[in-house]
Amino acid sequence: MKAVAIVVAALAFGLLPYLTSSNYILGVAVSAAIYTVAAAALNLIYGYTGLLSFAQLGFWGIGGYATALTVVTFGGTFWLGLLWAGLLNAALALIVGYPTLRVGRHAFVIVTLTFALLVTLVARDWVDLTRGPLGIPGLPAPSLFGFEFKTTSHFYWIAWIYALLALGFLYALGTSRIGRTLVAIKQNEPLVRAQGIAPMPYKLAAFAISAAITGIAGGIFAFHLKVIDPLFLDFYYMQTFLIMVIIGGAGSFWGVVIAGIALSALPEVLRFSSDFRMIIYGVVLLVIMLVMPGGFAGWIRQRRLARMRAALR
Amino acid sequence: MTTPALDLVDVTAGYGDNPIVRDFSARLEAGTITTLIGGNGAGKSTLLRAIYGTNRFFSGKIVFKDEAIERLPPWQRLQRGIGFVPQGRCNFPAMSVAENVKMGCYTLPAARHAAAIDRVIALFPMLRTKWRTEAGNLSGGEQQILEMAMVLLLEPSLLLLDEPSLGLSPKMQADVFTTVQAIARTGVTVLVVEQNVRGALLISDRALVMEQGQKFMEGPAADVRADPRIRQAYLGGNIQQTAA
Repeated sequence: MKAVAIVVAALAFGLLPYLTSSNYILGVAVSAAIYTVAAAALNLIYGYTGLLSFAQLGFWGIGGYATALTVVTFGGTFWLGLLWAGLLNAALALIVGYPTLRVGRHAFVIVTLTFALLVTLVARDWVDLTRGPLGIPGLPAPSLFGFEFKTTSHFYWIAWIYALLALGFLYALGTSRIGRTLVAIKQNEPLVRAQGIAPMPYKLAAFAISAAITGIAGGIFAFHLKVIDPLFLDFYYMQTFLIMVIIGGAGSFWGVVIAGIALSALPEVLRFSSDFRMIIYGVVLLVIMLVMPGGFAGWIRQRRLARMRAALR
Repeated sequence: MTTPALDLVDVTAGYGDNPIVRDFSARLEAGTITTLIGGNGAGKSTLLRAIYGTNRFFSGKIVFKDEAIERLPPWQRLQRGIGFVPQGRCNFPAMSVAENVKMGCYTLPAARHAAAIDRVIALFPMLRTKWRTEAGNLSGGEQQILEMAMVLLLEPSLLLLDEPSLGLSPKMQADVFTTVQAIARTGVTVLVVEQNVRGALLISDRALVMEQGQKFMEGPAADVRADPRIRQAYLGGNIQQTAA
């Protein structure tokens, strides 16, 4: 039943271009798909494994720039750019993660934050490569077998298919033995060691996978915007992904997916309120956190436990 | 004399530069329960950790199944058949009993998982009834049993238990002691550190008494229980003052 509902929901999102011709709605849907994937990737390293990574912002930016430079500077295709975005980010995650994850969780937070700031500086100051604040405008529409994804509704297919693939992969990973081990590492790392399991390869793999997925998401989003500049590394993106994970419930796959879609749509729904839009958005987030301190998934879990306890009385 | 399951020879171990346990020697016979008792800070938990390899080993020898293991990392000691349930909660609280048990199987080949799970469920039927319950929602005694089950999945021949009845009600403590006896009956050698000295001595074959990092006394559990110095010490005195 649950599987049927998921397939129906996924197909319904796929049919969106047939239900509306509004570029505005389709643009919001592209953002929702890509943000949700980036949030789910953050959920893998933070929600499942318990490692708060601010490097996601850096991976997002590197993904965007790597894809753009592959196409514009090096004459490659959009798809090759995405491949580079994924591989480059995975390699960087291994390089940054290997020494940092040995030190401890707090050091990891600081190093990943520094990494994100460093990437921002590179994007702004390595003018020869990135064109600095001028950015790289006019990113061409991707094409595949002669078909050009020129319109927003066409581009939506790319975002939708990538979201399905990435979320499907993350779901499979999260429910596998590897996912269970990541959760175990978060809950009780000394016990994981006592059971003869080395946590390091798992943490490193989670970091590299989340980096690659975030990087590809960044690459797709940059081509949706058709321009990339240092604003692509604005902290707004990191904050958006983190809010989605926290509101959805860190460690809950479905909680984060639902929060990703809902919180991408919420600021747009609030547009009627003009200047007060972001204030209302902030208040809504505050209220949600007060009512559901464990996020949406935590709230559902608490309700289930309360029902169980009531039944036992 | 039966074969020793574990031979500790002049073991000195501790943390950082500080040896806590000094020149400790003892032999554990296979299939027996040995209780390690002593006052706070005597070095009981330190000795268990030294046997499992999670603290600093200074000198001496730890021989398990005729092999010196004192320089092996914990996971290799686990592979050789030493299971350790440390003090405090030692499960994955937000995971179900089923997931905890599956984590316990992790280092076993996949083909042996089902048989291992069936074996511990036969030993602890409670696990089956609480299969989908989150470990954090089990009672203290049930969590302790789950933790022992997770270690027993790997079929250790030596089980190290650090304060298994800590924080439990008298009824639950009795359940845990019964469980420890059931485990020993399967042929597992048990070394248990326990704050409930009376209860632990009642189920044990032998007892080791530690004071200030060194062995103060050892012998059959019944003799140790009857010793006036032990009775005095555990009614609030100090073993060495009593001995003097």
